[in-house]
Amino acid sequence: MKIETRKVYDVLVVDMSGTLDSTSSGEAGDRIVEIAKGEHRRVLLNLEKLDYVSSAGLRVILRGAKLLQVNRGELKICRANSLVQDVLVTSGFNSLIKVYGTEQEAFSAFLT
Amino acid sequence: MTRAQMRLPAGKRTVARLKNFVECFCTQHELPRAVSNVVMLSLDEIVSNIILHGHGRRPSQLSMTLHFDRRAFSVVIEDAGKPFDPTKAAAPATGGTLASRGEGGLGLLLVKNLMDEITYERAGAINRLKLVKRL
Repeated sequence: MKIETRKVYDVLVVDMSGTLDSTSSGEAGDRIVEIAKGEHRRVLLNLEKLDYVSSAGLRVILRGAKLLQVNRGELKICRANSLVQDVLVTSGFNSLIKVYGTEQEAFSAFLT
Repeated sequence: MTRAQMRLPAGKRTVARLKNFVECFCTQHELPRAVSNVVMLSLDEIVSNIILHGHGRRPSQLSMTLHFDRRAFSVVIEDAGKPFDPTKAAAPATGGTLASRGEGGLGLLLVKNLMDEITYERAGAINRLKLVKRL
């Protein structure tokens, strides 16, 4: 699991690659909490290079989204592959966190 | 028809070792990435549960058998932990708001959704769970 960040406009894009599961969730969780408590209020998870996410990984995403919401920020997701999308729908996460097909769509949604 | 088996102690590194084994097996037999990802995700959920809830303080063995033919890929997981039938586990709530949303119970729901067949049997002191993904 690899997590890299970059700033686009005032959005912090978090590129996640590999697998977000019980093996990687500890380290990934620490990183997401650090990001959610950081200076950026708009955070976009780009999951293009994420192979799959397990329930342990969903807990990491949920923790980040909740922390951001408490601090008047927002977490969005884009470019999830079909397996990750399937997991987001099955778990009901797609009704808690907005999911977009492209980064541009997510950026536009942050601005409205 | 191709088959492989791995037996190892239930512990901290078990999930990672089983997933490595599945990944190598699938690469070697040129199985689609979509299939190996679904199998590894399901193993992550099932084996994490067994290690977390199934054994208490007793060290125990766990075995995994992989099998595929032209029609399906199957995984059989056996452990000597407490009896637990994941097919009968209650479904978690998946509604609510971000603030109220709980975090538990999603793993088995994901496995049930991703796999085509799940069967459980208690054979003596062994839990035997079979997961099937059609190819």
